[in-house]
Amino acid sequence: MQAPQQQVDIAARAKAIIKPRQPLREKCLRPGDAEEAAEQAIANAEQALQQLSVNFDDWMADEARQLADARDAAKAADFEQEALTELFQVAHNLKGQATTLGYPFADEICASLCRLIDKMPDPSRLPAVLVDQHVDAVRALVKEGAKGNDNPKASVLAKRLRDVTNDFLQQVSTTNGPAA
Amino acid sequence: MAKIAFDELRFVVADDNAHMRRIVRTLLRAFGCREIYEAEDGASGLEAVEAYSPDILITDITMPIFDGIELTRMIRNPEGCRHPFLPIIILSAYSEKKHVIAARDAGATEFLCKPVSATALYRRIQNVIANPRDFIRTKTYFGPDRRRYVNPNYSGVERRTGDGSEHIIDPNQVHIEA
Repeated sequence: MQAPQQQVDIAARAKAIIKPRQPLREKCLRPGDAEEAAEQAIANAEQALQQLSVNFDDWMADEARQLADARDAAKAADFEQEALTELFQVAHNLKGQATTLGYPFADEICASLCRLIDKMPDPSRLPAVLVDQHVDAVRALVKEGAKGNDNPKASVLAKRLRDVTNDFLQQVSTTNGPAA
Repeated sequence: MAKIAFDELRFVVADDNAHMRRIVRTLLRAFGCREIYEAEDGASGLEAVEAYSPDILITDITMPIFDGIELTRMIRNPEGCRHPFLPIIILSAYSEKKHVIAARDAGATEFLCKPVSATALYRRIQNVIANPRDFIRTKTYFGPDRRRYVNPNYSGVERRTGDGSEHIIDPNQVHIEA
């Protein structure tokens, strides 16, 4: 890939503060009330998201299925690095979108699972039972349609998993840790 | 501040998750954007940037082949990419400080944590357009000025004056003022 010569010239200099011309300002800023336009655009977007939300339960079920598949693969591989990375990435993806899809407690549970995987010094000693509990909790929330911020069972479940995970990681960091 | 004509803007959205790409595309279209290209990994994100010359890139961090941080570094390489000044909004489920700093040090323009909201995405785009920052090039960094504001009480060494530093006015790499 060949960059234009003038860009290479810029890169060749030792140290610089560069003032780009502001092409986006020239290209797309128009006279008008910025706040009024922003409010209208945001309202349009929220309405569009609301219309899209008819798909969210199916998407969430799909994501929960992928999480379970990744968990099964990771366990079958004895939490070998590549399979564990895949499980982390699926859980992390779900953490990023579960709230948007209407399941904020699934977001919290996936955050706890990511933390468990990320902070475990020796992945081969990951407690399979605790991994299962996270994955199965997400699947249960989806199956039960436990949406929103005010589901007491989902709230208790997410908090319990977070506490158990924190306790486990604390033990691992202060002692040789419990057996997997 | 003026209003934004989204129908004049071209976006690339890079995210390995199809549902998230659909959500971001839905938000952008509702803002008024008509040209949105998608990529499902870092490599196809870079290809899309080269192929479509977008006005703004929105990218996830965790992606196959290479991630959003590496993608940002590749774009912020004037010798390797034709669009080193491209505004880059990182949209990630990572919210820890170390990831925000990694994105900043790679040259990201804005960082937005998932879950994404219409308001947060709009405000980041608005900021990118209405408040563009100077670019800084040192031996170890090329990207938007990482100083978001001027501290009037700063009393340390001013490292950006003297010592061979220069100010470059760079309108699409045409005028260069040493």
